[in-house]
Amino acid sequence: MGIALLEETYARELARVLEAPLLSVQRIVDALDREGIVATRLIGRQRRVTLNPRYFARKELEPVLRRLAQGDQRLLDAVGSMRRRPRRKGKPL
Amino acid sequence: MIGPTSQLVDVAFAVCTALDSVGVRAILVGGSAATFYTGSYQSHDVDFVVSFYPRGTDARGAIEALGFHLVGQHYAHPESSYTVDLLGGPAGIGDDLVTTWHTARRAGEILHVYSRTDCVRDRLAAYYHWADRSSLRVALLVAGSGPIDLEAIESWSEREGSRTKFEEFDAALNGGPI
Repeated sequence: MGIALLEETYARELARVLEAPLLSVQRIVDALDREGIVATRLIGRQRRVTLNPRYFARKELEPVLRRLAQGDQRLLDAVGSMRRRPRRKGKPL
Repeated sequence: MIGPTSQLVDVAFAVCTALDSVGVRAILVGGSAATFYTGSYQSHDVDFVVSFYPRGTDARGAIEALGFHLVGQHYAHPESSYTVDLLGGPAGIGDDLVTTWHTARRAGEILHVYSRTDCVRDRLAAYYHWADRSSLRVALLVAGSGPIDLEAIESWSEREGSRTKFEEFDAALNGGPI
């Protein structure tokens, strides 16, 4: 559900949102990667995770995950409080 | 007069009025426009898009006369935590150019700001393109602050290829989880 809401993410961000240990998240992402449910790609030193666009049930899976996420207010709040839009370099935070 | 107690909207009125007095038309956009409409969402950036800038105009001088000074690419004030940024035009949201806006006036001051509908579109654009759900929440706050043209937002969302996300916004407007 976290991956579906964030669309593209990485293990540390997922761990923060899910309040789960990083190692556990990495293991689950690895398992989902092996199953072909998520796709990962390396950008610099960061492994970015998305739902696998080539997974046979991707079209059906994403709306189901988004619907399920609507029942998890804690997850919605965690994702809803994150800034993901760009911020120009040099602007104070 | 900008001081420690000045609110974002006070700063926006002062800067827009100063720019207007030298012939520069600047429109308040982004999170600061959302603050203008809601009062509850607090941005700390006062972002303007400059839609008209006559050659030879001293926009910097007009802003510095208010006590701001240029730091990198934005203006800071020694007595205010709000920073001012002038962005190059034209104003646009996704593929749409913004050609009309709301103009507010108070006690000799003027403020050009995105219409409420465009402010919602602006925040939704960040959600559509960056999966920024905090912007979705701000879009909902702005939408709840007064009338908006939901049909215009829906057709724009279609053009942006974000039908599903618009439906999520629409459902949340009607009390759905967010």
